[in-house]
Amino acid sequence: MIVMAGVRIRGLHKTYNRTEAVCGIDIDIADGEFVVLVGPSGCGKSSTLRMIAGLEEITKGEIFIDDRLVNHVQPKDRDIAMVFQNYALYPHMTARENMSFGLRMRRYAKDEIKTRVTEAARFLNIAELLDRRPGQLSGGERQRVAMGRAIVREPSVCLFDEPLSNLDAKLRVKMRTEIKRLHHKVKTTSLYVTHDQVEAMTLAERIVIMNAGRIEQVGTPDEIYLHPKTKFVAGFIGSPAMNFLHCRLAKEGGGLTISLTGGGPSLPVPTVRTGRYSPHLGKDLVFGIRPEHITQRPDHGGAKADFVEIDIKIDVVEPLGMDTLLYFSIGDTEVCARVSPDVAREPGEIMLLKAEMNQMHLIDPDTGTVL
Amino acid sequence: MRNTNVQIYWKKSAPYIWVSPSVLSLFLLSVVPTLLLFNISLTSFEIGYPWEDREYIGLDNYVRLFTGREVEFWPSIYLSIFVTIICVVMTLCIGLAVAVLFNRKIKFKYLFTTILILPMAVNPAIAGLMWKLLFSFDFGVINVFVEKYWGYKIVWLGQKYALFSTLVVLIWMHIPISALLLLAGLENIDQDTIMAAKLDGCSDTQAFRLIVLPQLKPVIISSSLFQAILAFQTFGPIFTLTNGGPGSVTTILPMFVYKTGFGLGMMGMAAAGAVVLVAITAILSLMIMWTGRKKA
Repeated sequence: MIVMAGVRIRGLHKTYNRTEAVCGIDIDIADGEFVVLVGPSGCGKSSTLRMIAGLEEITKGEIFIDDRLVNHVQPKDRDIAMVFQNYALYPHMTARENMSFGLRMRRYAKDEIKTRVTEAARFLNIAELLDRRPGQLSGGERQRVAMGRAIVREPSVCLFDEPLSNLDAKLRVKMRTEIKRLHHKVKTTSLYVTHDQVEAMTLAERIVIMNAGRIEQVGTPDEIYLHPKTKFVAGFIGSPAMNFLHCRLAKEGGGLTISLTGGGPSLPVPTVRTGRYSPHLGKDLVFGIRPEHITQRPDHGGAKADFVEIDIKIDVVEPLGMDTLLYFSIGDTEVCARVSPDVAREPGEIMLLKAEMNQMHLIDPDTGTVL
Repeated sequence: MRNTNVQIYWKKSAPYIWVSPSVLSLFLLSVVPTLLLFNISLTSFEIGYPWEDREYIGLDNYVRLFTGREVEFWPSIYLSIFVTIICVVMTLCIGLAVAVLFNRKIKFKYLFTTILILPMAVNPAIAGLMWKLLFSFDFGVINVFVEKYWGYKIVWLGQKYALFSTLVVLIWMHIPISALLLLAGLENIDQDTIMAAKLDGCSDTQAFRLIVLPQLKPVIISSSLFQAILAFQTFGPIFTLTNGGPGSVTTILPMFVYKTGFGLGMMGMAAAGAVVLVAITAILSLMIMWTGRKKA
């Protein structure tokens, strides 16, 4: 029987030698939820995870697991399991001993330990590897054993500290799917730390984006992708990153237009957004649009007026197989577009692309917030 | 064609030529003296008699040693084993404690590390002399404190305490090596395994006993064997501290060899004792190499 528990973090701070790594964050994780903490290196996500585990002291703030304040509770008494980046398997023990170690420390009956380890090993496809030591296992196999060690204990919270970053690209995708399948099966409350936005988008039920020790935005993957709240989030999520161009909002006819200050065509603002952007008329802003929203044949629906045609001269072509990335300049800014491979041309050629204006974002450069 | 043959010949012989200076010096400084030592051990050579007068007596010297006719030989072997065991155990325990302490984030770590390795920098014979002054009955610093707290002085280098005092000096001298080896071993242990153990339900003590110590085992074995060699071979500090005395209380095997050779002048017999010492040291060295190979 798995006892699930929510995690509540209030005003969490962590300071190392006067440097503030985590600056007062609040997070709520519901029972059985899979939350991904994502951000660039040094943003404080691993420190947060380690404070929840009890492996780092909390400078200020409170952590509740299942409504119990755990600030001063020993790691062993928090009923938490953790999967580490470098697996952290005990090198002198076999896979079986590694997986059963936590249960043996908690004095479970031998039969119970055997049943749980066998079941977890079967689920993770490592049944035949149980008598090998970590040194005799490949990276992927070690990671499976590490996950097995975490799930056999049936902890109330499972923490993942960049568990896939040591694996090669192909194995990473495979293990990502397995983690998702595992969570669907065991439904343990999970907090997963990564700097890889693809992992965050694919695994998370909710994403927490951190930057410089603070939370930038919390939301479902769709919310984060479609409605970023800050320039940082808009630029961090999405690959290739969102294009940013400096602009000024001007009035033209009955509507608004975006005049790119670095040079380039004027872009009409969709009428549905006129009301939202009117207060910023005449201000210097940043125009943001994702590469996938600059394409040759917009077929996502929407009014015809929402598409703006742009003549571009291709600078670099990057074929990805399914899509092709085109790099070109608008004024003095390099811009990326994602097009279908069958329409992509050669560098130096002229092409007509269409910007999907109802997918655009306007950002206040002073506050970094998306308007 | 000829040129190619020369090139092939050069390519094949180049590695041997490059290592030959080291091999040659090792042979001259290590193998030749050992062979000479073994040669002397088969003779009746004594100081004061011409080298030409020596007689080859086969293994007689060894027979005399092992049958106990040289009365100090077996006691010196037993004492060497005792000293070695005490030194290994104590340097391991204290070295491990020091290594664990130094493995934490402590202030002035480099200063403390320098202080820690100081005993290593002192010449063993000088260390013996230094401790002789410290242990001195009349003006030794140790007796000043002993007298202050207990009201009487101790004859540290007398019959009763000479072995204890010698052990203190040997342990003091050999702790740094043990601590540094164990510290290197501790620093190699993945800290996340300790974190994982704590999440798995271990207390600090259990994590140390069940996770750290087993990972440190190869280093502990190598360090202990290394300490055993050091302890078995010790000569300098004992020579200057007690000269093997009083009587033969601190006469370990190297002191027996010295006393037999330079005290009694029985060079053949001393050489036989030295060959036994070389053999024991060689066995311990082989064990170190074996544990290293097993680890690799």
